[in-house]
Amino acid sequence: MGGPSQFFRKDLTMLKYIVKRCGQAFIVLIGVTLVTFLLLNVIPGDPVAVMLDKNASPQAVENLRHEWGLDQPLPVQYVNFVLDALRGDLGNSYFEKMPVLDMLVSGLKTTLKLGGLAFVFSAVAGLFCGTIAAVFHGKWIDHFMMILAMLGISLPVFWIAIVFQIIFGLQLGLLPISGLKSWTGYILPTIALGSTYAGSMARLVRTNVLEAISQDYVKTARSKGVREWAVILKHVMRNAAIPIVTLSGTQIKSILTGSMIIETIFSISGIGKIAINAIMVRDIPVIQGTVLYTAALFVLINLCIDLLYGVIDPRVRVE
Amino acid sequence: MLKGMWNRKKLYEEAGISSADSSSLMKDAWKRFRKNKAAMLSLAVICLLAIAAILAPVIAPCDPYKQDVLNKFASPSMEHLLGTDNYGRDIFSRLIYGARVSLSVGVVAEAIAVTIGVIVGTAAGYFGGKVDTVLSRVIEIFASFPFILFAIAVMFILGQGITNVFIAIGVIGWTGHARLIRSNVLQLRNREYVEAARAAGAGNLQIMLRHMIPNCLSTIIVITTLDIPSDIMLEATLSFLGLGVAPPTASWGEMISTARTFLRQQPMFSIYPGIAIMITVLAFNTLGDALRDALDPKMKNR
Repeated sequence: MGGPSQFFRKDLTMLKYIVKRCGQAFIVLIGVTLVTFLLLNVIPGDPVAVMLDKNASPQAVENLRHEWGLDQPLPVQYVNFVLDALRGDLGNSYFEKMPVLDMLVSGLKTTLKLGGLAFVFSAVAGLFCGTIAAVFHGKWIDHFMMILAMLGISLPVFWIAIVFQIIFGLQLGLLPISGLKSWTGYILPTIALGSTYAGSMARLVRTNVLEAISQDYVKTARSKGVREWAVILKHVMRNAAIPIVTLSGTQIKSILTGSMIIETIFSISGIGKIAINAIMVRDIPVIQGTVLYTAALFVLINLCIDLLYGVIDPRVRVE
Repeated sequence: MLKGMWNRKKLYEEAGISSADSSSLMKDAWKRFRKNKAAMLSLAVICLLAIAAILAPVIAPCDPYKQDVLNKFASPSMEHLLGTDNYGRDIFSRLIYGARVSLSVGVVAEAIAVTIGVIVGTAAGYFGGKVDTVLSRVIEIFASFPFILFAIAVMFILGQGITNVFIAIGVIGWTGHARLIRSNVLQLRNREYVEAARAAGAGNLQIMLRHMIPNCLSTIIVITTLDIPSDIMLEATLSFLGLGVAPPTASWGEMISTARTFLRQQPMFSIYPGIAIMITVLAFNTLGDALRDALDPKMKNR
């Protein structure tokens, strides 16, 4: 039993799994660049025509096309696009006259800050509401929490945001409804963005807590005379926290996507607002950059989650 | 999720015998479903919404497109139940017509997504090997794009309009279905009855159509119902951003977007469409949960 050789074999399967999964992620990344490239090459309208005014000479149009490499065949353009993307050179925005990468980095900082806050909010609120609901199972507070959770899940994020703006901004005048000039600016967008995930988290935590409460180790703890709140905190909640880990992967992605809408509503210059603005004004390098880099980010997040699963659950490795 | 897959495996092992007689399985499911009050209520709500959508021209008290400039932002009255919008159009009638857009997106876009998902998932799971490797990577590639950003980009390329909304949402929404069907088929393909069918001379296509897909039917029904709300939400988001249905078509998302400009004049204008979306999404979510409990009693809260 055991012994060094088995230990070694176990490590080897893990290593194999990591290498295999990284290889797959690499292939997916190539696919992502291909889809992004093709997607944006079928966008109607000549970008050069958008850039220059109508009475520009044909010579000027031709020069600009040459400058951006738009006169080369598609496969060559694709290879150049990938090589540039690898170097972090995504070209310049047609309108902002600044490197796309700089725009993305500053946007991503804002989005991650907002998304991180929303994630923390949804995890804390979900864990709290879900546990309370389960502990008071069947009582009015349970029903109240679950109705709240269902509202969070069923209402569009942008609608919640607007209702918040009406109530807390326009009617009560308590909180700012746009921009992030002070910390109060974060409150409304964070809650609006986190509400959906707080709802699904609360429901999941509630089921898990209900399941955990009836387990033998909880009965044992109770019979030993451990206080009820200590049982809940030590034994039940620890087990109920596991869904946060499992849900967090999909949640992080959904929050990043949801923030695109929230940023537009609250005029926060994160990556979502940059992307949507770019689409409205046909700023192709910026669209390309945001689509490509968010997709690449998602591939990396998926990879991390899968590797984590491999560590936690040995069955995954041999699949 | 892993736990859910484990339950599913157990479920199929146990259901192996009874699934031969699928009519009784469906009967049992219907019995369980009928006992669930919330499920019956949500079914009734969906039926009402469908009737409202189909019979919109009959039910709506006013023409949703008739402008009345002298009667802008009118308060609720007998003539205009929920008041009028910035063009003096009847908000209640526009809400009813909005149900048409939302429900048709739920049905058509989801049908596209399910079709692609079932084909890709069945092929990947059934053939395995290289086919599976390639298709799994394709699924992963499409799943890597942020849902909304991809849909926005597609809408931008195709232009506004409801047909394009169907395509944009259907083309991105299939990856989750494909994954689930694939893992289902993976477990089914080594069953005895599949071997028996093959020994009897059935071709691959026949086995997939006659044995794989019917056995995945309950999964397909559940994921379809649970996915419709997110399609409806995505349409509302696209229309909210001005990239969904083309104006003056009434859509709940578009109404919220218009109302946003007039928050000070008439705050309630933005509230109604949100409530309409909530009722629809809630009804489909409840129905989906109930269907899952009724069809797969062992995989609650997957």
